[in-house]
Amino acid sequence: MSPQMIGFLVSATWETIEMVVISCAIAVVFGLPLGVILLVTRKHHVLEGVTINRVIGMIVNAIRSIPFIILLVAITPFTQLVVGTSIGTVAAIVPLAVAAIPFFARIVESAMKEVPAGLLEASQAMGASPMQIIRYVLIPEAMPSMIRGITLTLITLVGYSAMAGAIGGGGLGDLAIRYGYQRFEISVMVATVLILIVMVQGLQLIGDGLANRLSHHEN
Amino acid sequence: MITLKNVNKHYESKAGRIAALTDINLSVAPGEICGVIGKSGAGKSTLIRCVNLLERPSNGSVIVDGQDLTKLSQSELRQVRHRIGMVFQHFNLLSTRTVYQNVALPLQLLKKDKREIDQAVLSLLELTGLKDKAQAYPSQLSGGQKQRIAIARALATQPKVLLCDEMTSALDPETTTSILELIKGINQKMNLSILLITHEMHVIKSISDHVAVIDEGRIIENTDIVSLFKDPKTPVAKRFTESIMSHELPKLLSQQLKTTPVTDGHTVIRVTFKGHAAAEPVIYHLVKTYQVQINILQANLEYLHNETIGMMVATINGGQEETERALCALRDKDLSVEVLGYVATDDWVLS
Repeated sequence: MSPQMIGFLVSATWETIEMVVISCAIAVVFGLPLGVILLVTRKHHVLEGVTINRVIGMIVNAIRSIPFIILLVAITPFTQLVVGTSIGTVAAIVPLAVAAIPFFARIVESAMKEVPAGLLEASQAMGASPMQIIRYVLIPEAMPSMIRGITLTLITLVGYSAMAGAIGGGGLGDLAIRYGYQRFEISVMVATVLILIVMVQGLQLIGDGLANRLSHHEN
Repeated sequence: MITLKNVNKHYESKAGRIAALTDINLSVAPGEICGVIGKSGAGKSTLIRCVNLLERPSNGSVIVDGQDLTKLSQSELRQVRHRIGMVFQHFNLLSTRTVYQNVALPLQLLKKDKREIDQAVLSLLELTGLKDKAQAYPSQLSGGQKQRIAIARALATQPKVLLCDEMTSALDPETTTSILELIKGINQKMNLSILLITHEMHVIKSISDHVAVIDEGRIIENTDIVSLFKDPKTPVAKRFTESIMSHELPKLLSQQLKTTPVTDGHTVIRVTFKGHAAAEPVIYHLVKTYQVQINILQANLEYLHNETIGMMVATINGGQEETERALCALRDKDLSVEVLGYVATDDWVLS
């Protein structure tokens, strides 16, 4: 492999990391409150609000049902509006984040749904307000599951980021298609795949380790 | 301290209205331990949840420390809940918080400063005997230890009222005893009013001053603990008291039992002791004075507060006249004597 190609690989790896990490951070920032709202506005929950729950639930489902490759192209005007361009790594972050927000919101919702009802009851009996229940009970108790959810989101985003090559997003997926597939450079193909495997394995390892450290459940 | 007045609770479902509680009237005096006992599904969980309005009664009033909780706004209700401790069957501790942090939680909710929290938590851990476990997580503790933490947490805000929801039902008998001792001690030390619900009669027996029996959403007996044991008025209450004072005859005996006297046979009697009579040498007296033979088949004594309640099943053997006189003497001693039947000597071989 030529030194130039190694340079490409390094910068493509960096672009992938950039896209994945930033879009995941955005997904966490917006998805966490969204997931909390999805849970606590359920019937009989601490901030029951059936209408808002249904509206947000429908929006989340709608975005999640669009195949990513189509979402990527469909929201180009929005991307243009937000980052001023619709081409390149930064532009790819917008559709990645848009796809990841509802994904992570559902993860948050289900992680918090696993918090035993008894804990909510106990905190209500203590006189905790809904906001205090979210802050002191739901979020900390669901944290290990949410860390696993972030790992899942990151890994899903690694896969999605490969498609971002379609709008010139760069990254490893883009490199693999342009050099490995279209120019038959098997070594590039193998190298990108290996890097992706290492990346996913590493993410999983770190995520699991962190989640286990935070979890103090029996078993 | 706690008064439930005409409390009703019903749920609407597709099958129609389901009544969970009907006309509940119950009060717990300051410093008193009141036990509510009932079978599962009798409505006891709903009842205790109505006291801090985790379940809102359909109608009726819930008065705690002079305040009708049903008339309060959500935020006023939260203020009141800070002064009502609650302990649950499954402890409900936060798994990601240490023992110390769990006990500190109610104080954090009240935004107390660190020093105040530290002081309160350490003295509570001392009280519940778990000071050395302060940095452990709930998953590292036994059931009894977890319940001690839950009790410490419930007491963190120095409540006047403690609600115990099947507090010992997930614990083994030995641990149950130690938890009940802890609760009794706290009750005396802090003059705490306690409402507890359970399906276990021995829990009621060991710590309650006052007992209410609940069945199908209604309170069917509401009396002090000694009266309930002496004189249960309903079949349900009877079954509960019998659960710790076995009243059933041995099978072999009940099969042989005849309804009419048998010549030269035994008379089977059940004697219930109440109060002072239990302390007297009644049997010795009978045997000596009336020349009858007494064979005890079953006996049980329970000590409730300052009273003793006992039950004995025995056979009396002697002439008809002697037996009759002996029974009269027992009745004179203010014992309740019940003739269960008669057995022939041959049938009932006393070994």
